[in-house]
Amino acid sequence: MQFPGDHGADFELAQECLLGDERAIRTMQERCRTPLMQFLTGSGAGAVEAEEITESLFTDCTIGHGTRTARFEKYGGRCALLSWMKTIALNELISVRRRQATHRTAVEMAEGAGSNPGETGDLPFQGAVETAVAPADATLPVIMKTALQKALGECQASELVMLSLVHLKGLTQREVAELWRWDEPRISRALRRTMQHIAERTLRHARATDPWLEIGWRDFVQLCQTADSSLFE
Amino acid sequence: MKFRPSAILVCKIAGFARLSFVEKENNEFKILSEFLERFAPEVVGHCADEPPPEMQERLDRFVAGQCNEAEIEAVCVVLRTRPEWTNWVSSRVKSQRGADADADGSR
Repeated sequence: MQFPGDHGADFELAQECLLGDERAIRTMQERCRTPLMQFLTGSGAGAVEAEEITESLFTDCTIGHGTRTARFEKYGGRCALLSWMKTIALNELISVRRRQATHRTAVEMAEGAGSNPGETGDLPFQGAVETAVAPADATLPVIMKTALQKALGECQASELVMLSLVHLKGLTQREVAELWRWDEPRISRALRRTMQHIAERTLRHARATDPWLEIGWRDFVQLCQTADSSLFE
Repeated sequence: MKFRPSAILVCKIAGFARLSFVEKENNEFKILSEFLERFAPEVVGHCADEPPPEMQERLDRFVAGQCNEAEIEAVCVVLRTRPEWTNWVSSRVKSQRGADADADGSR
């Protein structure tokens, strides 16, 4: 079995964890615990929150829950195991934040209606709680995709075509310079400037959806590389 | 024209640094594009149509470097809505590589 980018060892480790190999599970946890927690706290999680999400993730990865199989069964070794786990962890952090926001809104609404939410009993309103603060119930890839699409939508057509010709279609900067009738350094500066704008705007749009989300551009790109729809089923 | 060895070394280091920056940018945009392809399946691509003749004329002028800034922007607006035509542009440019190499070799 071929693994792009040399992730065969990670795949083997995940498989051993699935088989209940305690040594493998310990190795995985020791290797991933600190980087995961640092990643989560760097993304806006508190220390306790980061620890809870990390430990819960370790369990979910190796043990199935109800109808959901162990998460490692979805890991195909296409990317580094740690990167893959970071994506799931961040998505879980987003879910936790949303639940907190929903609860806060429900408490505020109950207090506003003259009820003491600390008392047991039904809340004085019926139906689903409307969240005034929480963003739409979107998974992490949806947040990322929306933010990225908005940022790309704010670019000029010529900027995107230039990026596409150089970075996707394999033209040299010299060739593109001839199309635009510019010199090469000007093309290089334009490409760099456009990528910088895309990065700034994407992160701004992502934060507009989840204001507490503190994610850097490098992490965002890495998440793009590892995010897969099957991770969030 | 002779260059001091230290100057040559500085240029080489700068060249390597620039190359790695370009490679990083190259990788990033490609990663973002592939991500959107995975998560934006509602974007339906046109089949590999060739541009119609009047559009080919405009694209040929673009490939030949004969467009002014406004014309370039107009062409790019079209390419943005028909990204498959960007393949047509890049193929035309790449096909000139062989011709340019032959011309250089025959001088």
